[in-house]
Amino acid sequence: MNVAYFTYGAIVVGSQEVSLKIYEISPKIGIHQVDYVNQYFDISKDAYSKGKLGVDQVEAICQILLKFKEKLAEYGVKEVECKGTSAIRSLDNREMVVHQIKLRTGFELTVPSNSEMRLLMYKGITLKQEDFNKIIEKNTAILDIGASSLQISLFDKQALSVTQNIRIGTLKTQDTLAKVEQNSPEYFSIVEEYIEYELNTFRSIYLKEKAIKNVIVIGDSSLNWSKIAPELNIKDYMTKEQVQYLYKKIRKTTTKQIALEYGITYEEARYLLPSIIIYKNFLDQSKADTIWLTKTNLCDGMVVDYAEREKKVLPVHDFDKDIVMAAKNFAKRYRYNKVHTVFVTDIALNVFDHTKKYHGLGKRERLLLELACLLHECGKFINMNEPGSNGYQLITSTEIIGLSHRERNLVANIVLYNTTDLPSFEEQNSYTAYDYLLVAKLTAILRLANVLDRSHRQKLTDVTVLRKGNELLITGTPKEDMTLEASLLTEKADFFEEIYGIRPVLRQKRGF
Amino acid sequence: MAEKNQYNKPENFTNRELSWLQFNYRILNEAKDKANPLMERVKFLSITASNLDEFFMVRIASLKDMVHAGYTKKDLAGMTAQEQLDAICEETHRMTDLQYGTLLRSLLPQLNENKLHIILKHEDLTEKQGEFVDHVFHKDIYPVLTPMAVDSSRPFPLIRNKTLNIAALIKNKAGGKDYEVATVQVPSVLPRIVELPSSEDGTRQIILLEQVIERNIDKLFLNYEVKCAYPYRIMRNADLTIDEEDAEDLLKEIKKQLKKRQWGEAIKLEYEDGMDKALEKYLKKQLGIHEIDTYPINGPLDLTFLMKIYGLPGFDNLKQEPYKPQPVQGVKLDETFFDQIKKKDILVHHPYDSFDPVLWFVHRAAVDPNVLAIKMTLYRVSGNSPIIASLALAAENGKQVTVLVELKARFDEENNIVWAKKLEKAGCHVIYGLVGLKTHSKITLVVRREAEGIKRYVHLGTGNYNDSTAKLYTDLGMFTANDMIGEDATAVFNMLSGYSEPLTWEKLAVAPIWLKNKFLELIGRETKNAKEGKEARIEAKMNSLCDPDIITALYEASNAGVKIRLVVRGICCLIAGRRGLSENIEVRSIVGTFLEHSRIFCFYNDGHEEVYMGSADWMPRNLDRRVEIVFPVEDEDLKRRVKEVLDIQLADTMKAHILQEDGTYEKVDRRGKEKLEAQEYFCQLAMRSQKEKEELRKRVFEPIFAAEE
Repeated sequence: MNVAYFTYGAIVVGSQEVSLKIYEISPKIGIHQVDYVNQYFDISKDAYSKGKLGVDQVEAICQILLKFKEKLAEYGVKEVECKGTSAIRSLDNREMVVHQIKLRTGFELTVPSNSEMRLLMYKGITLKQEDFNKIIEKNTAILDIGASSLQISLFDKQALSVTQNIRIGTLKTQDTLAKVEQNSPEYFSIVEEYIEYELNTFRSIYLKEKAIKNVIVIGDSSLNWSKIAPELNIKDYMTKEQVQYLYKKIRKTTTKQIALEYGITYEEARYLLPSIIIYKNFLDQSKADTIWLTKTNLCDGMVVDYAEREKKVLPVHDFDKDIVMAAKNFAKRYRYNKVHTVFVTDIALNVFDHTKKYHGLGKRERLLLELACLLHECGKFINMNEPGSNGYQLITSTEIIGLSHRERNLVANIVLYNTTDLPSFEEQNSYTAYDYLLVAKLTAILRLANVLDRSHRQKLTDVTVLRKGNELLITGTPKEDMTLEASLLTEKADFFEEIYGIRPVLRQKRGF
Repeated sequence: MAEKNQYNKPENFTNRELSWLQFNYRILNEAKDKANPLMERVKFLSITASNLDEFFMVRIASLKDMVHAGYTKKDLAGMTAQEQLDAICEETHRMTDLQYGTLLRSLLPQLNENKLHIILKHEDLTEKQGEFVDHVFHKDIYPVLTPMAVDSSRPFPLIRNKTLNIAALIKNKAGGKDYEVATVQVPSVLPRIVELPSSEDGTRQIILLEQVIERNIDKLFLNYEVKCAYPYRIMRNADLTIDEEDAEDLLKEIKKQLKKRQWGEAIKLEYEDGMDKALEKYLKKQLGIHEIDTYPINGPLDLTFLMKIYGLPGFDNLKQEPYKPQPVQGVKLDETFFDQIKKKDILVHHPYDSFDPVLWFVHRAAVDPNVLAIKMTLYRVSGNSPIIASLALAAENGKQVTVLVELKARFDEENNIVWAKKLEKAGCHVIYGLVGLKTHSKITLVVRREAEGIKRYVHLGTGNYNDSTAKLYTDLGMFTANDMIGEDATAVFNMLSGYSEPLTWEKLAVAPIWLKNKFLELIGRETKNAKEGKEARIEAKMNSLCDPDIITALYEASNAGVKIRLVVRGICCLIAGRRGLSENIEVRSIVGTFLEHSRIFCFYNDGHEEVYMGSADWMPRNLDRRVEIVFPVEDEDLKRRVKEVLDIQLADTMKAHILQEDGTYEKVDRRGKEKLEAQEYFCQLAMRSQKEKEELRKRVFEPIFAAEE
């Protein structure tokens, strides 16, 4: 039989549940969810407080995964990916746990960084919200409420503008305030104060005068809200009035009472309190009047990511653009020179595209180069004399959505070696040979592009790049005298040649 | 939960046990009804007896438990357990009298006229017949008897539940002053009826096993003098309640309970009327039984032997002509079966339609190379079930097979355990039910890989996957390839496999959590429409109606002006046709050759009629303590046919009994109405459509050609 579709299984080992979604992917109908099972299993307590999972817990996870194997067989699924979330990420014995799982079940558990995971979550929204691009037209805040942290991302004009991680996840908040919960009747107000402070800080730094028009919440389902207030008949969204109503209702009762009275688990009930405070705060302080609840979870993001990667379907939204946008906003915060940066980025990418045969790199590496170009100057904000190491520090302590820690580290190093010497492979010990060479390749391009605008005056116009024999011809029409740039080029060209085996040559057309 | 609304008062409900007894009376009525063929009447009488046995073991037993436990909570109708027991006891004595009256005064004389003579007392045997049975006794019966004498060193033995026994007073011939008691079980391994050579006029002669033993009782106690001997029978508490929370392994627990069932308290003693007073007193004391729970019987004990009489070869003229289930019209049982389902939903109405499509569905799934998985719930399976064989075959063919075997199906546990083991051996995943919930839903899901994607096929039914009972129970089933039902079906099995419940259901309504609200909503919508002056109607058919929330909602609807017509086979705690309470509610019960078993629910919905079918009755146990599925019928053709099933039952003038305000039932007043027997109508309908099909096949048009010049 000729089958015109693929099946894919996404497994997520979360803080409180292990879930599996099975999808069908075909060019005709896109991505379609076929089955979804999930089993409650709480590892958050041990993961966050002890930093370790015991043998019994790993065994229990393996048992669930083995059960999933049967489920996968029901649909004949061959392509499976398996990811762990923040609880697994925070384990001290993470590698051992991953290894155990591999041994017992055959599943390769990977653990994305927070920023990678958040991007996957956004990708997941596109699966459930078909008009995703329309919703993010106007100032849209996407709230991703996790066990350990809250991620707020703002989309404007169809692209991501800001994303920030705040450590006020549902469990985190309540663990921090656990003593208060036992002792104070004012617990609710105290949680509210705690959360409000964090949100106000975020607002004053990132939002300023921007008014949010839409609020989308990921990772919450209407199920528990409708259990608490069936009279509201909540489905996909909650209005301002409904949020107000729920806020009052929850304010009056303790978590235990909620759990008992409405037949939900204690952990689920604990989730509700910080959530409703966050919702209310966001609605009060914005022009939005609705909270949209999407049932998306990490599995949905994984399948969108997989389908794009394997080119099974056309992407709905350009997520690389979001990453670039986020980097631009990051550079803006550190007062980068926009025209210079754009100039350098253009030339660098131009060079990259014309030397494909020599570096053999792909789309993802091009993105890393673009990010390095955008961020190469931000270190100057701290100290003009050490842009490299300061830039490195800034980048490695910032969340860049969609990047793994390895990738973020690569970008930071390209920026570092843009202005400092690249040590020999033996001198450093943090890289594999591949990554070392990758950093060297991209650094060479950045250095080359950067030196061509040494004066920050964008003297060269109509730049074209062409490889001819052993030379890389960079041709342009100068507006001003280019002696400074031309003289400094030699050193950068040596480095470039050392790596690529071709020599960059500047050709000035008549002009100035 | 039921709000304490104005209708929720004890006087608005009938006690469920008394209502059940009314149901048994209706069956007894069929045994008395001269319009029925004689052998069918014999069978109906036998059914009343086995029904009553089960009623004692389960319902009466649990009421007794309540009394022992000092449980004082009143039932819906405001009766305490003791009050219920008293009321029931009165009725069961009356019912027993009526059963034996029917047997002795009506059925036996008529059987005699039809050349079947049952010799009730061995004293009535002729000399020749006596010699014959004595020979049978020596050859076949004597070797399996275990007589037990009771004296100071030998305590009264355990008398097993539901067994027939003979008690005797004996005295040692060698001396001794007092009579001793001895008892012997009438072996259940031997047939209860012993046929003698026919008399000269061709009348067949039957005697019961216990009479043969009684005649020869002195041969069991050779050195004793036997003063007298009488048959007796006891019934014990058999309600099986398992504490699942503590049960490590459900399977083991049930096996343990099966052995324990024989040890329950004696709750009923039947004995031959005229038993020696001393013996009677002794038995009652030994069994610790109350006077009101004793039933002196004038006639043979345990009337279930009548089923064997019914089964005697010959006498076909005294039986209803057996009905042969017909092939379903327009459905081909071949390799295109899945495609046919994909094209259009298929409805099957058993036993009028044959059960073969269901068997074929599972069989095709087992052999079709594109089928990936089969999931099924099995509640009561027949011996040698072809379904079990197909499932095992599927597992051997590499399909993922998941079977939920419900071990808590009453009285069937032993049977179920065997099948479960067999399936496990074949490589199926077997789930042994859910803790605290009985899985009563009847659903099969087939996952198939097709060119366009994964496709799911679902069979949903109102009856068990049992090919033998499908010939006797009226049930409806539907095959569908509807994607939303398919997704819900997947969610049902995920839930049964221990995964989290789904966030929402697309099409199915599932008990225990969601179903009751769904029904209350549907009833509430009719109430609302009626209040707005719109036409509002509810028509439904089920086996039992005793959920207080549903009943009060129906009262509310009735008072708002909703026309409610119900077909309730068995228990009905609702009071029908009472002014100011339920004047718009009509309840009828149909007792016929086939056991009415299908559940249909129709709601008028302001002209956009909604039709549902399912496994659930309107009983608390179905809505709150079981996994049940109610599904919508959406295909217009199917909807019309399901509606017809209800309409015909509501128009039945032959077998329908109408519930009266006082809780009794009366047959339809037939004056001015056409004769219509619903079950007969459906038989004719199924045979007619089959005949039409055959005629169509035979029909060939004959062209007329121009005459040759």
